[in-house]
Order: sequence, then C-alpha cells, then structure tokens
Amino acid sequence: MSWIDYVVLIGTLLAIALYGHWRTRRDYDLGHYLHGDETIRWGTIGLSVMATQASAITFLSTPGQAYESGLGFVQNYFGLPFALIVVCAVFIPIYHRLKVITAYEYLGQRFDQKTRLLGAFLFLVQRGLAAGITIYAPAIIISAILGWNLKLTILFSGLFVVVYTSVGGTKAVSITGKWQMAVILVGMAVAFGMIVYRLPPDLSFGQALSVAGKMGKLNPVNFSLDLSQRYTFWSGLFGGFFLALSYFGTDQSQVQRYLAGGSLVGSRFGLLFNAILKIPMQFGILLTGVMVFVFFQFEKPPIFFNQPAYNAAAQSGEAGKLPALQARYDSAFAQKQADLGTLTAAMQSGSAERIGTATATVAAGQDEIQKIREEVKAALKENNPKLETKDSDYVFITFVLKYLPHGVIGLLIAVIFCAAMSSTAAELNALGSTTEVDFYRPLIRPGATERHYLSVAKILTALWGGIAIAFALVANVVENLLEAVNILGSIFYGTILGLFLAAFFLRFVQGSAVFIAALISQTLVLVLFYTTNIGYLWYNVIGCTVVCLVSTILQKTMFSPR
Amino acid sequence: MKNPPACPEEGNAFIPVFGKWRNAYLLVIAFFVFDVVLFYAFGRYFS
Repeated sequence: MSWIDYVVLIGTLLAIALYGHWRTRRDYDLGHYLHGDETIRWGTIGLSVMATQASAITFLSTPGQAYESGLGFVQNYFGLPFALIVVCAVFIPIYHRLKVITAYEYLGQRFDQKTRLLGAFLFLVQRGLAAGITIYAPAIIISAILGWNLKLTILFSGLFVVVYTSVGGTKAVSITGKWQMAVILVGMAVAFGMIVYRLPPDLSFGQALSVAGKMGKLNPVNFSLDLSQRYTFWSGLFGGFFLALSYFGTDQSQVQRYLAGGSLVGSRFGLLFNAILKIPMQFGILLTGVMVFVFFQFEKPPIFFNQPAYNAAAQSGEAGKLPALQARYDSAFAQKQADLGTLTAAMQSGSAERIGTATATVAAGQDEIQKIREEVKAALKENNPKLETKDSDYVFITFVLKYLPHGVIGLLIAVIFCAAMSSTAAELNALGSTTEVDFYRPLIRPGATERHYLSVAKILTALWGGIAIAFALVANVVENLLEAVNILGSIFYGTILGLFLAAFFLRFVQGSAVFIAALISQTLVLVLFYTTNIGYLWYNVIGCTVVCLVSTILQKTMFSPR
Repeated sequence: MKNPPACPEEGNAFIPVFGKWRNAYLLVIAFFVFDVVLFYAFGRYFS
C-alpha cells in the first residue's frame, strides 16, 4: 500500500465516524441513545440494515467462495424476501404498538420474565461470540497480507468502533452505517469494473462468462432435494427463510436498526428496500468472485493464496515437497493456458464439438491444478499443523493488492473496514441495550433515573466492545469465516425464532411450556450439530419447529388448566 | 397476554408509491421470481 491508499483509507473511516459524532453531538438523553429519533428516514434505515448484515467477512469471504464453488451461495438468500414480508406484516406493528426497545421485552410481556431472559440470554451468547469473529475475521486476513501486527489491527478497528458506538448510541450507528454502506457499494462497483477491465483484451465480457460457465462456476440455482448439500434452492428458500426471519425479526442488532426512526412506514420501507436489493447485491459480489476466477485463468495465481504463510514455509528450511510442487504447478498452469486458448478459439468458431472437446481438456487441467493445490495444503499442514489451509478468504484481497491501482486499493481496504465497523457497531449497540434493558433494569437496579440508565448503557456497550476485542485477540477460527458466522447464528436462531413464533401465533401457549420447549430445542440442535452433518440452514427450521411443537404438547398436557 | 391490536399506521392507510402494503409485498415477490428466473436462465445460457 502507498501513502495514497493510507490517505483514502484513514480519511474515509475518520470522515464517517466524525460525521456520525457531529450529527449526534446534541443528543444527550436515553431515548436518543437507545431509540434514535424521527430524523432517521427510511433510506437511512434501509442502508443501515444492509450495512449491519454485510460484515467485512461478506466482502472477503464471498468472492472467495464464488472463486471456489461458483454462484450457488446466492441461494442462501432466497428465503430473505419472504421473511422480510413476514417481519413487516407481523413483527413490526407489534413492536411499534408496544413501544419496545428490545425484541425480548415483548417476550416478557407476552409470556413471563424467565422466557424474556432466556431469549435475551441466547441472543447475548451468539451475538457476543459473533461480535468477536466480526472484528477478528478481517483483521487476521488484512494483517497477514499487509504485514500489519494482528493484535494492533484488532485493537485499532475494535477501539475505533467502541468509541463512536458507546458515545453516540443508536443514531450514530444508523447514520455511520448508511455512509459506510454507500462506500461499500461504490467500492464493490469499482472493483467489479476494474476486474472486467483487467481481463485479457481479446476476451469479451460474454466470453469471460462462457469460460466461467464451462468451468462450472455459473450455477446459481440448484433444485436438488439432497439434504446434505449446503446450498440448494430448497435449503435457501426454507432454511434461509427461517434464518432471515429469526435474524431480522428477533436479533436485536437488526430490530434496533429498523425501529430507530420511530415510524412504522419508515421501518417497513427500510426492510422492503433490503427485500428487493439484497439478492441482486449478493449475486453481484459472487459474480465479482467469479470474474476474479476468470482473471486468474489467464494470469497465474499464487499456488496458495495465503502467500505470507506459504513464503514462511518455503523459506523455513523445511520446505520439503514445496519446490517440486511449485514446478508441477507452473507447468500445469502453462498447459491450461494453452488449453484455454483452444477453448476461446472454439467458442469464437461456434462449433459445439470443438467446444465440448476443449471444455473437457480445460476441466482436466483445472482438476490437475486443484490436485496440486491440495498436495501443497497437505505439505503446509505437515510443516505447520496449526495452519489454516483453506485459503479462499485470501483470494479477493490478493487480487486487490496485486492488480488494482493505488487509491482503489485504499478504497477497497476502506470497504472491508467499513463493513466490519458497521456490523460491529450494530452488534455492540444491541448487546449493550439488551443487557441494560433486559437484565440491568429489571434484575439489578429497577426504578433508577434516566441519566443513570444512560450512563449504564454506555458503559455496557463499551464493556461488550472490550469482550469482543478480547475474544478477537485470542480467537482461532477455523473453516471459512463467513460460514463460521452463519453456522453460529443457525445454532441459536431456530430456538429464538420458535419463542417469537409461539408468542405471535400460538396464543394458547404460556410461559412455562414455551420455556421448557426452548431448552429442549436448543439441546437438540446442539446434539445435531455435534453428531450429524446436515446442512446448517436446517438447524433454523428444526429449532423453530421443535419449540412450536413441544410447547403445544406441553401446554395441552403438563400445563393444561384443569 | 394477547397480541395487541394493530397500531394506528397499520391497516388500509394509504402509503406512498405503493398505495397499499399488499402491493408493496407483491412487488417484492415479483422481484424474487424475476431474480430466480434470470439467474437460472443466466446459468443455463453460459454453461
């Protein structure tokens, strides 16, 4: 990175945070801190909802996911528009009517205090852990690639957010989220344009897509009914529906965003904006990853995308098979480039037979390269058993740093930090509010002054920030980072959603029945997680269904009024 | 406790752009169907 990149990066982050602080400089009361006010319009709500969901992991991991396995991940979002319609039609009117600050207050009013505390506790556990991952994920990748100190990167990005979130509260989070999302959208559009521009001059955009398609990367819709496949139309529609319903309907980090404006129309418009734009946006990010894949068919990519880790192993004196594997890789890539030349010539000729033969040859070359990469990963693992060998999270950042001009690099690193900060800010805002409203007020200090509660909310927000940073400093997350967050959410969301659906639709069910059902459901999901390999989106369906079914049975039997 | 009645802004109140909330929800579903058909055709065309 050059000084221009640092100016763009630091200038963007500081400008947004200072603007958020300036806009909230006169807001001193508890209402503003927890609710926001009517100056927050639907556009701000829509963009801040989007920014909260789009974490840095989205922009590091999603293009890498598309690079590895194509566009199929977009199906994960197929249930989202339907979930948002349900949230708009059912959840939002009730939250507005009851004027709740946290979603779990509603559980207390509908059932009882213990059910409210259980819902809030499950939220705090999963969101507290996720906040740590949200800070850790971009820091580990950016520090590795740029050679920054990991702990300092975590502290810089974490403390920056903690300060403006704990000082400014909900309104600051919504305002900064809007501008962070604007930077993200501009940055990703610039990145897509630059990738297309960097493709070989004799390869049209249509031919680039054809190359991706022939290599199996353009597979956005899969109607398979196989439950063990992670991303299908059905798992996305049903599992994704429950995941999104739980996330948008019951996760305080989102509920606080769309209740911020105080108007039902504003809340609904903000969510419907997301219902329409979320799927095309995710498709665009995945397509960016596919274009990076096409680019690296013509430009030799590193044999292992976490280059600092590879270089350290290669120079450690225990390189073992790595030099021989590198030589095989260079040779296989040169052969594949020749085969790709044959394929593009065949596509220009339009001969189906030639295209079929060339596609098979390129696919065989790609398989050979993939095999060599697997051997490299095995060799690296042998050299360093603790090394994370799944390198797809490093694909996009490698492309950005190596092939994009200065200034754009700074903008895209700013995109990653903006995304990290917007999600973390919303999470800390929600964690602080939930702890203050659902635990501190009723259990520790009921009846205190607003001024006291305001100070406590700020302290708790800062405290959760400290916990998230501490978790990030000691974290060692394995597997794909995006999936880690989604899996963690899916383990808890089903049960939480079950509590809310029972509250809304099973009017005969009372507190004790639903409380026991939620404990059974959460235990079952944890057992399934540790003992089976079903796609994680199904945990949302299972958890929610078990709460509704078991609470109904318990209410009709054990807790039936005689 | 029973679920509360709808809040004052709910119901058949006129809303900007869409007129009724039902129209807004139908538009969201129409966009979804369009997205899926487009993605499917896109995948088939280039594969």
